[in-house]
Amino acid sequence: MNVNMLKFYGWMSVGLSLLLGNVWAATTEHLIECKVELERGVLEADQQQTAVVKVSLLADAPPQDAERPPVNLCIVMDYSGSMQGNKMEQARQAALEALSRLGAQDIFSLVIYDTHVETLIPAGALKDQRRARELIQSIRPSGNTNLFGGVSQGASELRKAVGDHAEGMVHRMILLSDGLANVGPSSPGELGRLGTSLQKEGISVTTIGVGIDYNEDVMTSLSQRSDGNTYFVENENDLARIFNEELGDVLSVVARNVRIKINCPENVKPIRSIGRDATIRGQSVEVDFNQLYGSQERFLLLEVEVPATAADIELPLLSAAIQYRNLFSEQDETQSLALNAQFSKRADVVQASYNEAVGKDLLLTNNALAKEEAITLYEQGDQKAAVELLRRNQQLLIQGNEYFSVPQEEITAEVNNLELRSTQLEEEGLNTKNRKLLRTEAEQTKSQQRTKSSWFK
Amino acid sequence: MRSHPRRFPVWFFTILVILPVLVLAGVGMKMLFLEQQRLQEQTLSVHERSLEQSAERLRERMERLRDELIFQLQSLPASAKDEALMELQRSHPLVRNVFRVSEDGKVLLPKLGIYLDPETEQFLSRYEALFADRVEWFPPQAETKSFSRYKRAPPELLSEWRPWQWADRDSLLLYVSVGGQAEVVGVEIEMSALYARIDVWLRSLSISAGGVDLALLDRRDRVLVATGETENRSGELSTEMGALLPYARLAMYPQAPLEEGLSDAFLYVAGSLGLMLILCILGGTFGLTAWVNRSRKEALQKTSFVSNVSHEFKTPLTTLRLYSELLLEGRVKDPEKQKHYLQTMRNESERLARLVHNVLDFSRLEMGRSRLQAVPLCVNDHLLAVVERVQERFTELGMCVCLPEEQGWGFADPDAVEQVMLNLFDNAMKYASEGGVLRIKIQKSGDHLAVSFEDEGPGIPPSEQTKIFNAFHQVDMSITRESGGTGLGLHISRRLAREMNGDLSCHSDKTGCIFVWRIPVPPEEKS
Repeated sequence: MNVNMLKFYGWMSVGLSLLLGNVWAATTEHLIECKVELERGVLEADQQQTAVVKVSLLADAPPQDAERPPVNLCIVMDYSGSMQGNKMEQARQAALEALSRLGAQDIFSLVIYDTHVETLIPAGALKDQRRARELIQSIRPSGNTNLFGGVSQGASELRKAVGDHAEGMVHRMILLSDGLANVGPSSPGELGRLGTSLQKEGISVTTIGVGIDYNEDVMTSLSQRSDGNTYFVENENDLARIFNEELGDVLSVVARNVRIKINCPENVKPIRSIGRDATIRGQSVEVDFNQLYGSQERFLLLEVEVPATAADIELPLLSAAIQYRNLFSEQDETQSLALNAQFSKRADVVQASYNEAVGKDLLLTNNALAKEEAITLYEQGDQKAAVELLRRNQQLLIQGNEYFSVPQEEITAEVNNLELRSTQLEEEGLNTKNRKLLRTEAEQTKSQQRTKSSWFK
Repeated sequence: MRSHPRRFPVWFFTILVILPVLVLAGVGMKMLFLEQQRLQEQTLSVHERSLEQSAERLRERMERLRDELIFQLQSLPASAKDEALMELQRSHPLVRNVFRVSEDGKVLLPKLGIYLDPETEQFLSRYEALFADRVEWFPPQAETKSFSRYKRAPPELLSEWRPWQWADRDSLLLYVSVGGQAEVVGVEIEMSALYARIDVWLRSLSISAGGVDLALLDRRDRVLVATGETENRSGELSTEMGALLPYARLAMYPQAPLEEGLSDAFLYVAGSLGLMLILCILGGTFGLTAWVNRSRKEALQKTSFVSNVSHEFKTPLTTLRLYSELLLEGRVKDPEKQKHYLQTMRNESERLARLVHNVLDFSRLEMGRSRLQAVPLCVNDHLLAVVERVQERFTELGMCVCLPEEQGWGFADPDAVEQVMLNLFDNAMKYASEGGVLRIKIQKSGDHLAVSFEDEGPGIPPSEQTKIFNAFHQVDMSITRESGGTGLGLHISRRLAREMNGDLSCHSDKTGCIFVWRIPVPPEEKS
């Protein structure tokens, strides 16, 4: 059994254990463990340099004996002509599966779209599941793909419950599409901006692309900017499983409105956030997450410029404030952290201070960025450079793994994956399927998506 | 010479009927056209009203949204204004970027000279002309208004809702200058979020307007948002959105597009009606022509019949008068001659009786007064009796009659049977006397007897074979024809045969003619 399979089953078992009920374990005082770490705990003395800081949030498993937070779920389903046949049937089954997972406290709505957009089931508590099931079964494919309209209408349905009474509610849209958006705004930029706006309202959009004809840039942009998940489902028979996993995430949310605010002293300059959009203005950096799932780690990798500092001086690098809404205590909580850097002239001390956990995340995130760059290079006509970039990253991962005290399974799996992807890119070129695989993998890594099983098969 | 009745040609009636109909149709079409125009104008006016209402409701919603944002901007705390603006950017879904510009035109927010993320950098470069004071912040038409909905709002608030074009895309800025201060605070509108809201509003307006599709188009007619398919849709109506979205117009696509002039549906209906009218006229004209021609033919046949009957009556009556006068005057002394004259008078009176009999039968049949009593009878007996009655005439004509050897029993009226036989013998004597032999055969065929009369005369032309059974019809219709008769014999014979559940038909070629008479067999004879 290969590493990928082990990982898949590992995640599946975690997911299943979370999904088995609406009642969870007891709340603890520290629902989220926040950490600020440097890639190297000790920096080289007397020289200006850049350092990578990881600000991470690790949520506990949802507390037992507490009711899970209610969910406000909207499924936005493409029923354009291309969904004809098994795709439509599987999508219907997946929607029915999602329906069966919800309880009386949840809100459900279903929007379908082709050229026209229709709210098949308006947002509301599921009093009549039978009627909802009949409506889902009645969906028949037709027409074009008004994806923007579908998302707008879905957001409008979710918005009905976004307000005073829904502070502790998880708002989630699951967008399912198999085609190119061809009515209304349809560029990745426009849909990405819509995603940003929806995130401000606490709405995350999870995108599920079915088949190889949808626009992965549009779908990933929308999910990334709204802090949702993204999936590529090549075989429609996997739809029900993906819905199940997604529902597992939605039903395990422990905190919402998560905000990381970082302030650096005057002499430390934030340069960039690696693999994630962040608002950087001068010395301040801000990142928002819509939600945090139980047993999930989410982090920000920040590259900062550190001034030349003498050995044995402890330099304050940053202070971080992490705010979130604890959905079990229904309280807003804040944790404050500070990070100082130490300096040494001894190379062995600097080397020994390497933080493997941060190093692993940095390697994988940089690898995701390299995949995106490979797509760009290929589309600029430089196939050779794209393949070389993937191979170079594969070597970096191998070298990085050797540097660790114990080889990391996740990195070993990614090394194997890169071998496959670079060979595919070299031999087949970047066909529609390979592009979707690369794009989705990169996005899932960058957004620290918990369920990445779409390409494990 | 045979005279033919003059036939009226179809075109005569067609022209007679079609001229007034065409005039009426023309007037009708014109009225339909005018009515359609009126309906189109009415529909157009309804659509235009509906579009204006939709645009007005859209403007109202936009205005409310703008006013709420203005209220939020003018309510910013005097201290920590930048933090409040940043929070607005973080939390307001319709705010993409925020800014603050000092009285002397200096950009205070975003802070310049520090590292900025790409989005903020792009924002500053998008509106560089404004931030660099190259264009006026508040053009003369800038709106100064008091907001009755927000009582705390100062009346001297100066606000600007400013459209901006950058890289062929339109965006919007909203900024205010509060309380007469020259400092400007504002936001850049998140256009995708605005369009998403407009999309939902349009959908609800579309439902209110009866399901017509609505779309918001930009200055280059690109679809910003639409409730349905807009490509290749005709009959679009549109209205400018005005100051709130000055680069956009709201378009409506009625389900049945309005067309200039005659619509396809109208032409289709009018064409179908026209076609039906023409078919009716043609059908009616053909029917009328056929009816007139048939009536004329019947009238001519009746005239001919009267002439024929008169002629037929006149011949025996002349003979009777002539011979009776000779006998009365005693000028004929020879007993043999007297006997011959008396026999001739008897024959002529029998002929006269047959003529009268036929005319009366025809009259009865036409009036439906025929009362036939079918009984089982031996066809051979009746044949023999009738042949005996006319044997003398056959002998005079040199004809020989071969009676059937087979015995046949029929179920028919005896008088009618003899009448049919007499008519068939008469017919043979008139037209086939030169042939010499008339063969009569009887053959049982299922429930019927087929009695055939085969002569060796000249036969009947194929075109006449079906007509010989028509009343008053004779192959030679001229008054100077060689053979006599009223043209009723075969007609009466067939009708009698059919009234007795049998039939009479004719088959002929150049070697002669066969009349086949089907007589039903008695019920007890049926197998």
